[in-house]
Amino acid sequence: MIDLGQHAEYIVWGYIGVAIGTLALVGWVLFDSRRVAARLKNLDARGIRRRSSTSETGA
Amino acid sequence: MVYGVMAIAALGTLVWRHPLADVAAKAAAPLGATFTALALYSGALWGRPTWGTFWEWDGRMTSTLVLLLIYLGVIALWRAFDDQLKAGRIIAIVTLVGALNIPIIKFSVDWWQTLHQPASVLTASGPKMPGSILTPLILMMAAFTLLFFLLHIVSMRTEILRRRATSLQRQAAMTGGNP
Repeated sequence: MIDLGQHAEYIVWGYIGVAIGTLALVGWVLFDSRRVAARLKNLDARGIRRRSSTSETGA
Repeated sequence: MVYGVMAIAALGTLVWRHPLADVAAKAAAPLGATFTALALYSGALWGRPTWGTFWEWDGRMTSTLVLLLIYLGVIALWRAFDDQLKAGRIIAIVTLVGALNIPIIKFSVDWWQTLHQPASVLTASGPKMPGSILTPLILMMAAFTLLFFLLHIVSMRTEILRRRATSLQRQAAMTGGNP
């Protein structure tokens, strides 16, 4: 175990807080990305898609 | 760095009217807000044992708090408008006005010598801090810069798809739900 000295408490809380904040940001970005992808997939399933993708699939 | 990207994107919206510019600006705002909040949090934790207080209305801390408030204001503005193209132009102006805060943050430690020490990395005579602190600082700056670019690309892609979905839904509503 590394000796963090007399300010160990602040260092540990610094790492914990930044790790939580960073992971929350990454999680939110991924969640938002998947939510929008699901929304487009849902529209596609209802036949609502771009004209260019309709002609690409030949539908 | 993040606000710099937003300011360049704002110029892209106003001057070149590039369609991706406001997408880039919108995608960067929540990332910048989070990184600024983390900087304030870790700075406050550092301040307690060093200065004996979590918070002081010192020039650097106050101008960084103003930066966080600008980010939150920009995010709120994006959410307030239905027409994202119109929003892009208005928010670009707000973003450029807010960019005045960036040099204030940089030079605040030289202009108002309160709690923060003067510039210790970018100085005419080179960095003034020991290598044991400077090396991890530069390493973490590089890591967070790369993380920002990665998250920014993913967020921009998400924003483009979100606009496509909104546009498709609008078209479907106008045609009575028939594709």
